[in-house]
Amino acid sequence: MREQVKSVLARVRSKPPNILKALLALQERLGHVPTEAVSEIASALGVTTAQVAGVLSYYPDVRLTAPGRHLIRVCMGESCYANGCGRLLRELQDRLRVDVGETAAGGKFTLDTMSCAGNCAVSPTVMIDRDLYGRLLPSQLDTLLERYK
Amino acid sequence: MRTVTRLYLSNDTSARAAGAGVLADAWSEHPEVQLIRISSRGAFYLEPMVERDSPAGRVAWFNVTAQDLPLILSGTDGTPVRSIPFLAQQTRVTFANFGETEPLALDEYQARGGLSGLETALRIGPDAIIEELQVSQLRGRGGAAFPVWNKWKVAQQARADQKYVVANADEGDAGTYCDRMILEGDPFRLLEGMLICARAIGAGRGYVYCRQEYPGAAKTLRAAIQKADEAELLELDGEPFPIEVVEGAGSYVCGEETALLESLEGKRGVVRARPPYPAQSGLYGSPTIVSNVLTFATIPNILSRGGAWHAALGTERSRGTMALQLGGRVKHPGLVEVPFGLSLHQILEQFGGGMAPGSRFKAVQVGGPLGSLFPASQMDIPVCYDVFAKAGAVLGHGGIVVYDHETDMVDLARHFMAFTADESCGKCTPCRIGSVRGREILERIQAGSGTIEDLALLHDLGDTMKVASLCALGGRAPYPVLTAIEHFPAEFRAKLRT
Amino acid sequence: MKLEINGRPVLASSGDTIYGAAKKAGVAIPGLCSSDHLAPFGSCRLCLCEVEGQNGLPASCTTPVREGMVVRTESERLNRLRRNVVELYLSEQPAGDRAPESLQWLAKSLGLRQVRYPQFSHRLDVVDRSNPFFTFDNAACISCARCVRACDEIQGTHALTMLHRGFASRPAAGAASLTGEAAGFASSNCVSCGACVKECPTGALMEKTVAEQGLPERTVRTTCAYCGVGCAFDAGMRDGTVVNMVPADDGPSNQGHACMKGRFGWTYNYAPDRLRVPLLRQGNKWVEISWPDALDRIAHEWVRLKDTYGPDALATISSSRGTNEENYLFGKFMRCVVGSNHIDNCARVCHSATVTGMMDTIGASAATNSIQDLDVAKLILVVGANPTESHPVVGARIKQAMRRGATLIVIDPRRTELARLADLHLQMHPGTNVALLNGLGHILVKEGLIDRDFVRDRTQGFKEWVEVVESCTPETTSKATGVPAHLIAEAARRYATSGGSMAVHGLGMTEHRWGSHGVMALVNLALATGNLGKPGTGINPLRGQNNVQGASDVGCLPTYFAGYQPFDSPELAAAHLAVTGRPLPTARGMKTPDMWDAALAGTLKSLWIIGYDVAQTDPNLKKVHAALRNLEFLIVQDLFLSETAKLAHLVIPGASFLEKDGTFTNLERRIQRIRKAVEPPDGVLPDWQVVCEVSARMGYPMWYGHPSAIMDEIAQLAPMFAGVSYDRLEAPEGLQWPVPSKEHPGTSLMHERSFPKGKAQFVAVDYLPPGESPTETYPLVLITGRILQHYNCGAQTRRTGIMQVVDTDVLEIHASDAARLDLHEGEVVRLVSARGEARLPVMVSDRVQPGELFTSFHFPDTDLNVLLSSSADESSKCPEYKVSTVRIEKILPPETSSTPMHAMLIT
Ligand SMILES: Nc1nc2c(c(=O)[nH]1)N[C@H]1C(S)=C(S)[C@@H](COP(=O)(O)OP(=O)(O)OC[C@H]3O[C@@H](n4cnc5c(=O)[nH]c(N)nc54)[C@H](O)[C@@H]3O)O[C@H]1N2
Ligand SMILES: Nc1nc2c(c(=O)[nH]1)N[C@H]1C(S)=C(S)[C@@H](COP(=O)(O)OP(=O)(O)OC[C@H]3O[C@@H](n4cnc5c(=O)[nH]c(N)nc54)[C@H](O)[C@@H]3O)O[C@H]1N2
Ligand SMILES: Cc1cc2nc3c(=O)[nH]c(=O)nc-3n(C[C@H](O)[C@H](O)[C@H](O)COP(=O)(O)O)c2cc1C
Ligand code: SF4
Ligand code: SF4
Ligand code: SF4
Ligand code: SF4
Ligand code: SF4
Ligand code: FES
Ligand code: FES
Ligand SMILES: [Mo]
Repeated sequence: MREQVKSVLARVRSKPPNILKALLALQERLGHVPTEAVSEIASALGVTTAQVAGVLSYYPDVRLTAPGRHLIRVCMGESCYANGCGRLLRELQDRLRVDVGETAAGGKFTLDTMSCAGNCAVSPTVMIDRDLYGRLLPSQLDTLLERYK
Repeated sequence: MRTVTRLYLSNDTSARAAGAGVLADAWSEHPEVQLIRISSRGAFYLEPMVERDSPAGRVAWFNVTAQDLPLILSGTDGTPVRSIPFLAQQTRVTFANFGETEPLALDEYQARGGLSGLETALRIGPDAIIEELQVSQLRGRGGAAFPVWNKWKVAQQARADQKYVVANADEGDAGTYCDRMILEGDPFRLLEGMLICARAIGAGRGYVYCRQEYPGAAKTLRAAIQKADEAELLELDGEPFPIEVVEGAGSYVCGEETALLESLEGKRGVVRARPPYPAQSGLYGSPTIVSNVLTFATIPNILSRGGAWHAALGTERSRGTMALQLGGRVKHPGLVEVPFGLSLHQILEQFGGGMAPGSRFKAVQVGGPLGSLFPASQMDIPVCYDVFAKAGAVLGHGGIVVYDHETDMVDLARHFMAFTADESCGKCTPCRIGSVRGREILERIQAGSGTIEDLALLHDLGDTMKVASLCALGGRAPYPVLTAIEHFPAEFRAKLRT
Repeated sequence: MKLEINGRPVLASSGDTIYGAAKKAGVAIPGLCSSDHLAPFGSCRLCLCEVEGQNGLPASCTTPVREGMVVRTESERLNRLRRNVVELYLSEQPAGDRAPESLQWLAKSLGLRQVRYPQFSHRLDVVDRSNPFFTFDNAACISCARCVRACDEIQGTHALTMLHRGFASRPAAGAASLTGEAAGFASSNCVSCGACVKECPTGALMEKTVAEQGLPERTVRTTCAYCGVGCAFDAGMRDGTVVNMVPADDGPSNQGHACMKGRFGWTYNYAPDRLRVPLLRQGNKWVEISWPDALDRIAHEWVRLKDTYGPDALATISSSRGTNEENYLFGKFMRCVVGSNHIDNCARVCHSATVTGMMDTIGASAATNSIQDLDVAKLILVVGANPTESHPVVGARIKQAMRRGATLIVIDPRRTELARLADLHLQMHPGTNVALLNGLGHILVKEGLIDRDFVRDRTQGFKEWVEVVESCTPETTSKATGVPAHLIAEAARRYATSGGSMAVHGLGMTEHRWGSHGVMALVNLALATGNLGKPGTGINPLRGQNNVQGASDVGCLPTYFAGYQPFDSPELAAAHLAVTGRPLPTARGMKTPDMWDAALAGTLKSLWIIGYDVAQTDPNLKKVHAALRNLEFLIVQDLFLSETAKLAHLVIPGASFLEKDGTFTNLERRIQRIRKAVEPPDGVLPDWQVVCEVSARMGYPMWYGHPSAIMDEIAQLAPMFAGVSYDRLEAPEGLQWPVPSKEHPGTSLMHERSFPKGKAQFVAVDYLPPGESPTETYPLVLITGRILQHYNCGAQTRRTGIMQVVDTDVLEIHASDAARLDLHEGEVVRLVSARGEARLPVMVSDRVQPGELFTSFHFPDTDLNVLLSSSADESSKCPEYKVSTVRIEKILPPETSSTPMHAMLIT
């Protein structure tokens, strides 16, 4: 991992250093930002561990733990709210037996919420990995989840 | 020889989410079809919408499924695009290219008048650009509605080695998506607007801060930047003007300009106190223009057609057109570009087509999660900055979300406060603690243990948040909650402990 | 700028905030998050105010004043909002009296009686006790981020951050909290400067001494007794003891800031092994004797030795840690009672090369400018100094200067913290200063970067200098120093063209075989570019100890009388006779190294050493020890039984800086008061009284009621102190010498119009190699110096909580050398030079270059200075501490050669 961290960070080195960019680049590669890597990141960027920790803990999208194979995110924005995202989320929680932020047994899915995906005109919206689904009904969830291995 | 039919299908994210992606996959095997992936017209209730050319212009088929291909190839049952009322009644100026062009076709962009604004800008020089904007009376479309020329002038007059132009593509307000459409559908318009700005203030670098939830937008924009670069557009006075796309990481408040700059510097996205304003001291302490994507996209037309042209549209102090974005339980959700001044009622009837099937109207929220709620009785309010401001409301980024009879107003109010509590940057006390206290009060009411004193406390807290918060997140957060209580008091009272 | 606040006209300067302007006008606006030391932030929202003609309620701490502004800071509406904000704060605090006092007080003054959010969520209850000196209690915190901003903006260490966001946002040190660990400070890069503690408005950050002993009841203003920055402190007193030391906001050199040692490293004062009673050696044993017996004994021995062998058999080394008054008296004692100039102080081993180098060029040897000039300098050139460790408040100030945009150039063989941050780091090989600085001079000449007017009007010897630097091309310079040629050129250009370049230098310049030459080479650059006599420029030696400047100023030198007056001045002789009643001896005395030779030769019989641990800190220790052992009677006066005291015949306890009155002179020539805060233990006499007592017993009574009378005498005899007196020193800013008259305001900037000798002198110097170069037997170059946490011989800092941070000297070695020699972290090795050997643990470090080593000399067990030679600068005798050649030997078996250690490198 040390090597991976090093090679990724070598790519995003800048003056002044950009901590968020570095973290996102690492996450892109590793799926998350392991806490063990914090001092490595700090010294590679020439910043302190506190500075890294501050940024790391600020942004909801920077993950400290590895997600499941697929990341399901339910939009909680107002248009989706009006169109029943609450029901969708509850349905997913029941089906996957997880709470928001958790990974289902077997490690296939991690369930999360997201803010508006800009898909409000075809809401409610669910994003799985990088795919977006709109006008989703709870009854369509089964077929949808089956597409993901 | 078999004939190949050119069909137009939108590649916009929402169109794809509505099925355009599946459709394209299904039809990719058909050699008789040449699919052109264009931007979306914004009539999302019709997506996936497929068009083909006809002597009388484009003809469209709505809500198309894969099985509809023979019908379309045979040319039957199509509707001339021109005759779709949702589109026909709009004043498409900034969004004129939508549904017409391929987003990354620079030649098409140019053929339809693109880059002529920049040409004018290069010719007339910085002072004249700002004068033109002053004549146009364009106000920022990101929410605060500040006069654009004024901000640019400050940055222009600031002495500094480096200046920056930053496009705010964070589009955090739920219920809004016009920035995403521009980024995905007409990216050169944004770049042109940024270049004009750079020219006006003497900036040497540009950034687009794009929300992480918009991967498609970032990808298209990066491709557009590369194309523009190859076409040698990204330079001013012989100096390169590089533009970089930087992605956010899920923080709503990073749409606020100073938090955005912190985030752009890779730091915690915490709001800075103003003054100094970014135009004086922004990114890395240098003068920086942060403007909304829609604002930048509006500017090329102003330069090419003149400020007076823009000022002729709209109302007294709200000039030009506004991109309104309909969502929620409305029948025809989608993008509506119209001059300022229509009433909410007109917009929802003329364009929204009334309520979605099975729904009865309850309230409409304008301006995102921090916007006020309007009940049926207030639907004649004209959409313009000043009337809204007088009513204690905001137009924000033009998002309009319609709630139906099933909406539980107490839960909706809790949802709003929870949003602020979740998204608060945590810097200032009224928002950091107040939003959590507000949420907790609403949770108590929801659970049946709230009292009439709790409602009074919520009002007092709301008042404190409004005036004492450092930024508009905490400052606006009480509005949707308090308007919910104001317009639907019975729902709250019914839940109180007696 | 005129404005109106609450109906009163108020004057303010542009750039002031409403909050600041109101404060100056005596209008207190409630506020918790703002601070005079920090940039406007605006987070608590208590300071909101009403401004006529403006919508909304701006925060007064972030709103700049405007001409004619009409402001109200009190109204029913504002009061209600403030009450609601305090209520929100209290709602997340533990109920009742456990909430911070500042909040309770605000609640009371705003009329808040009841918190309407009774059973709502509270702050996370975590306490970080891992810093040795203070605790952080999150429950009592209000997340105002003042601590974080202090660490960033004042100290520049970035050890703290706000963590998470929204309600959960809270300060934390390092990154440990990410994994739920409370011990953040210990694993962070915190340097315990205490700035965060001082800024904390709630006591969430609190000194452990205060937590244990209670808040101070009164304070005593004094000056730090560690380094030459001279930070002003308020000693917090409770029940007759010190409970904390808080840096004073009106401290001229520190402006409210401090470092670990001054802030927390004062507890040695209460160490159980403080010397309390005079000790007389009897064989291998110490016997406690009474004060009168001890004083009689000294007088008896010295009268006997002087009568038998003459005055040259006696010498003293005075303490640069003591006061000006003590030092002056010791000199007076030698000159009037013993009748010789055999007196020195530890400036000898420190900046004596600066004295020679600057005397020969500029004609005065002290810092030309002031610490505050760092705020206006456009470029700061740091040569052979490591301020963020050795002069931490100056170091922090340099980092602040960088924040505002000043350029930083560092010339140092090591990658110090400032070197890492610098715009340019010229990482040369140790001992090559002259080559490098001449190389810079070459560029100045070649590229026409000379200030012609300055050179013509104010200097002489320019031609000779040009002739010497002519041959110092970037290529030859690069070869001698190891610095890439383009960096040499770049540095020269920037230094010459910045519009105000300020040089600060340290022991990396002086402690060399050719130390004086190095200083001259640096002065030449300043002369050539006109960087002298203007604000934000100059040559500024970072003098080391708290009063090393003063000890020399008041004449503890074998070559000068007080005020650097030569012994052969007839006016001085007359004045001296008139004031003291004794003639001034005119023969130069022995310098410290001469004293060792004399002791070994048997001509020096007795030495009286005050507060200087030569047996640990002088070079070539075998020789020093032999010399000390050869003495008939060694008197040592110290706070502790130092290594030197262990060799003494008579040990006299000393009183610490907290226990006496007097003055110190800091590195910018600023004379500042120290004040007695506590009684010395068991009737211990301050050093000055000891000297008086002995003098009286030797037939020359010197009676002074108070140190102020001693200062009056100094003022009388030394023209540069003529205007100095204790009543003037009551002002917090003290006085910067020269102060030629009672009316003179003191001198913050020297040589504005002319130099002491009229014109300054270019002294052309050629590069000569250091005393030793690597050989096959001794292939590595050892650099020695200091670390942040400990102080010189360590007698004081080793008796404080600092031991929890660092408890050993470590040998820093480059990873490639460590790998080649198969050394692992923590392994204890034998370090061998031609003089002897030392043992210490290894630490891999990117602060040193391959082939070079670094270590400190703060622990006697290391025996470090055994390794060093007696090689010294020719003219000043400043020892060559910075270059010794050594080899590393593994100690086998390996399991016995590892020690658990606390160590921390500042990078
Ligand atoms: N924490 C702490 N502070 C102290 C002291 C202490 O013991 N501890 N002691 C005080 C005293 S007495 C003094 S004199 C001051 C000294 O303060 P400094 O002058 O900062 O002392 P050093 O750390 O010995 O050396 C400074 C730098 O010189 C560099 N150096 C070594 N050789 C060369 C060379 O050939 N050329 C150049 N350009 N640089 C070189 C070293 O790498 C080192 O970084 O500190 C005072 N302050
Ligand atoms: N290897 C190596 N050796 C060095 C150096 C180096 O860079 N490398 N640097 C050299 C330098 S620059 C210096 S200045 C010396 C410093 O070396 P020293 O002067 O020996 O060390 P200090 O710790 O400053 O103080 C010496 C003693 O003064 C005592 N003391 C403090 N205050 C008082 C007081 O008020 N009264 C009395 N009576 N005693 C007091 C302390 O207890 C301590 O024992 O070390 C030198 N040695
Ligand atoms: C909490 C908050 C969120 C904001 N989010 C956005 C956003 O997502 N996009 C945007 O353009 N402006 C947003 N703004 C407004 C910006 O601060 C800023 O006013 C705007 O980008 C300026 O551009 P304009 O002048 O073109 O409107 C937000 C403001 C606040 C207080
Ligand atoms: S009130 Fe609104 S619609 Fe009427 S003129 Fe003013 S801005 Fe325009
Ligand atoms: S109002 Fe909220 S988001 Fe805005 S600065 Fe205050 S805490 Fe941050
Ligand atoms: S003590 Fe100093 S270095 Fe440590 S956290 Fe506080 S301010 Fe930062
Ligand atoms: S510890 Fe003190 S200074 Fe730091 S955030 Fe908490 S209350 Fe503020
Ligand atoms: S910087 Fe020097 S004077 Fe100031 S506190 Fe630290 S040791 Fe004392
Ligand atoms: S509200 Fe869910 S996509 Fe916009
Ligand atoms: S003191 Fe001004 S906001 Fe806190
Ligand atoms: Mo020193």
